[in-house]
Amino acid sequence: MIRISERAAFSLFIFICGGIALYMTMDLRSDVALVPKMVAVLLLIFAGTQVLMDLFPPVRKALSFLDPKPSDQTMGEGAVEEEHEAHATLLGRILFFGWVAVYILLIYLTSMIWATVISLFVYLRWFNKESWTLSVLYTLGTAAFIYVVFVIGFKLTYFL
Amino acid sequence: MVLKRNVVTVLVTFLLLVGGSTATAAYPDKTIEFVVGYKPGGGYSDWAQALAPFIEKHLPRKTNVVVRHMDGAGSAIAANYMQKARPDGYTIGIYNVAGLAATQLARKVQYDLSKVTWLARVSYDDTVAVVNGKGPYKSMLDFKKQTKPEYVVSTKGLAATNTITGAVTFAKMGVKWKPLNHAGTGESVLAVIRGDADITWGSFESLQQYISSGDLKLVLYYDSERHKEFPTVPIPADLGMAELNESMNSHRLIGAPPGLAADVRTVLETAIRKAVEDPEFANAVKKMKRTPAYLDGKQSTELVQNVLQSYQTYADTVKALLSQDKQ
Amino acid sequence: MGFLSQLGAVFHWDLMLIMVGSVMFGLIVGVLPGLGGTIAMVLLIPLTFGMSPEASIVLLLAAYGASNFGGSITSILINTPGDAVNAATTFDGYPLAKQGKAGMAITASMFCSALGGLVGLVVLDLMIPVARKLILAFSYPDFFMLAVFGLTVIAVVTRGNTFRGLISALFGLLLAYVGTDPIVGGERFTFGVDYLWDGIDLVAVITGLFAVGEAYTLSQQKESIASDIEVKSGISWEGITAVVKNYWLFLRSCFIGIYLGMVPGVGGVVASFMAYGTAVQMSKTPEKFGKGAIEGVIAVESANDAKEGGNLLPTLAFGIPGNSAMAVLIGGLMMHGLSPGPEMLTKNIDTTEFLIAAAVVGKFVAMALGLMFGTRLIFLTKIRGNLMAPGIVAFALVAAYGAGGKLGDVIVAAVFGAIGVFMQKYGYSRISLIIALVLGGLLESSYHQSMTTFGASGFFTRPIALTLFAIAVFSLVWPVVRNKIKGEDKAKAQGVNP
Repeated sequence: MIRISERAAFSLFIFICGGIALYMTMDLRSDVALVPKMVAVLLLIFAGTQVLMDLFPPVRKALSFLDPKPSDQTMGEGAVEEEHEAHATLLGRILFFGWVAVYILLIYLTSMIWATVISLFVYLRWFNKESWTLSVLYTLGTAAFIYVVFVIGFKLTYFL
Repeated sequence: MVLKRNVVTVLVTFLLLVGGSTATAAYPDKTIEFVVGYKPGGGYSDWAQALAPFIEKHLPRKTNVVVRHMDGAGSAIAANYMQKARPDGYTIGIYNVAGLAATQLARKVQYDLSKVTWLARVSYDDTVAVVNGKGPYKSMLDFKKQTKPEYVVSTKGLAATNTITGAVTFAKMGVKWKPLNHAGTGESVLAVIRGDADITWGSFESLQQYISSGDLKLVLYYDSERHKEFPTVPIPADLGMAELNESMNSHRLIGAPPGLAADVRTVLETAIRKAVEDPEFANAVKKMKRTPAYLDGKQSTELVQNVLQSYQTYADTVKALLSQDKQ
Repeated sequence: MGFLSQLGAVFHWDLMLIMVGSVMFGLIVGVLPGLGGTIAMVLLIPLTFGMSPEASIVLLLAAYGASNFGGSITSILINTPGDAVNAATTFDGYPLAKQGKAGMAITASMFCSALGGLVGLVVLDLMIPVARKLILAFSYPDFFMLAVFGLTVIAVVTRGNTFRGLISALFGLLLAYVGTDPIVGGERFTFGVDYLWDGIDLVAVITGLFAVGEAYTLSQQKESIASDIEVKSGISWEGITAVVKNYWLFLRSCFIGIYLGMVPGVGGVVASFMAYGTAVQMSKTPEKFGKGAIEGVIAVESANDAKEGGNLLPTLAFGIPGNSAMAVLIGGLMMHGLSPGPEMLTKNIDTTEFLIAAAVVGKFVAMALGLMFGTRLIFLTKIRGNLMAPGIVAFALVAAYGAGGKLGDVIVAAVFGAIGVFMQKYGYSRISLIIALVLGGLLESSYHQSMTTFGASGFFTRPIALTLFAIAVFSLVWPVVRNKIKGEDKAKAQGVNP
């Protein structure tokens, strides 16, 4: 039985990264390729196992020693934070990172300062539904700060 | 509603203040960006930072000249950026012509040195070969004895200009060697001082402090004449390689994007010439133990053609160097 | 301790005036996203043209030394490091802020930085007679073992889920190999993008994984960073006593900093991560790290500032800069006719001692100012989460863009923001990824360099390399052994046969 989940998709993403890297080492000089090749092979084995565990519940059961239940002994970094899922919806994620992507697109099309003005204002006024006053003051404050410090203070012209 | 309109007015005014003032006037009327392809704290950065205030001083309206460090890929990122920048005279850059010429021939890049609008050469830096100050090697000829199967050459990467110079030199001398690669000058110098490497090639300016402190010893000086302070150190011609005397030395040139208008070019060229000739500038450079070697725009353009040609000549050595596979 | 004699020369009213101004400037540059100590010095060099050599030394060193202090403040308060060297401060500094203990974290950080800086500089002063021999004693196999030792830290940092911790680390290593390879200097894994020639920028990855990721979490909540907790502002005595209690951890971290700072090409970023890792390894309660252990902040901050003493050693003894900041400093000194090199240890020893004295005083001025202003920013942790989120994103993107103005860095930050969210959700370790990314380059280049110069035997015939290897093995085995012993003790106490 295959269980397709976001979790499996993420492990697959890492697996594919390893695969691409291994494929790319083929064209390299042997000494240049040596270390990355070793790392890529190891990553393929490890991430591959993880993909199998995520896709097939029986495999996960068989390899349960690789996937311990969170406990007091678990480091803050190792724990699977399922509880986040409750209020963090897929839509929220897409909206947030979509907004970041548009922000970056604006930096490319206009400049850091303009992009900040537009993105912050849109976020505050329409995503967060803040009041006009707060939205404008927050936006202008941030943009003015960047302008004064980076452009006037440090003469970093690429912020304009 | 009134508040809303006020707020919008404030917003619009602010945006106009930030983004406005693009009206055209006689050149130059806004800040000029002076691009350096390296991190701060190296030869190119030092030259650009020393020059910027003097170019500013000699521009018609004393327009700001601001140095921008854009390091990466041995200054190729900056060269690509320059190639694509608008040729309006508000972007100029300092180029490592030898290094970029080698890169241009070895890799696929966006820039083309033969198309850049050259404004001036500000300095010229001789290549040198150095060995450990207290080591077993007394001169370049010691390497001909081949006392080990392969000498270790400390490098900043195989594709670096100085490595290519070393490879061509050793190829002509028939010396067998292997590279010991590093990320920066400091590490590669330390390898020679420590005795892990036998020899390294570098620019005289960047190595002179280690030579004068006795940590390194000069064994070959690439120029058409011997260095006045080191009259016993040979030049390539003394070893029967006259063609290497000057062809692979590095030059620091100032250029602008391709297609710069002639009148703007003249303004910039004049300002740079006056800056280099400024006695105050000469004084500042002297303190840094550097010597300017000015060439104007036309001479610089010819120089670049020559450098590109001489690298073409050694293309085979370069290719062999990069493809050698240690199995 | 020759520098003590020069302290009098530093405590001159006009020099102190320059000192205070320069420290303020350094702190501000440190707090600002994307700008660090190197840029602070670059901006100040033109001002030194008209100054005496002494005043220039004070101006440059005070600003450089203070920038570390500023960078850790944003690491603690909003999970965004001002510069790569402050990155490891986020691991425990930010969780502390979440618990309403930002004041304690900032106080401890400032205190450790000043004392760490002092220890580093005192050791530098003591090492001057043997400086040259010491630096020449370390070679490639030693660097390689250092990197190996650093990677063993991952096993400890990810206890609980070592398997996914290893996947994260291998992923980090691969990322480290993107860019220019250390042998030919050719492209590798660049997909024809010239931005990638220099590899994936560490600051951008860290801002992405930690700051952008955190901004996403905040954007989904109405609570503030330190929610439901009474947040104490101002200087916290707890922060100072925590450092005093952990004096052994503090000293150990200082020595890690000095040692790594001394080696050109290994660099300061590695120092803070190694100090963090060792702190976890040696701790009796490693499970607390990453969740707000003050020890994590102490280790990183003391190593961070102690390493400057180490950095100065090759700079003064050979004139060889260990990093770009030292290269800028050398440039600044040369303009005043001071050429760093062997003469700094003999003929110009007074200048060297003055330089050390100025740096020491600078550290304490920075501590005073940092405590005064840094602790006032704690209000940030009391602002509603979804209101902080866009500000943090703007701050993070500016941080990635600031130093180089490269759009590629901004994109990397955003992409790793998304990756970070998934890594956190599915139990991968962001800290492991960063440690591997930092050490990957050193591991590979020192391996090839060792093989060229010493051959494979070099790894096991050099005493320093062997020692480091032994420490690495020990650090892997020790936690297991200790747990066994603990288990047996428990079993005995309960009167059951093991």
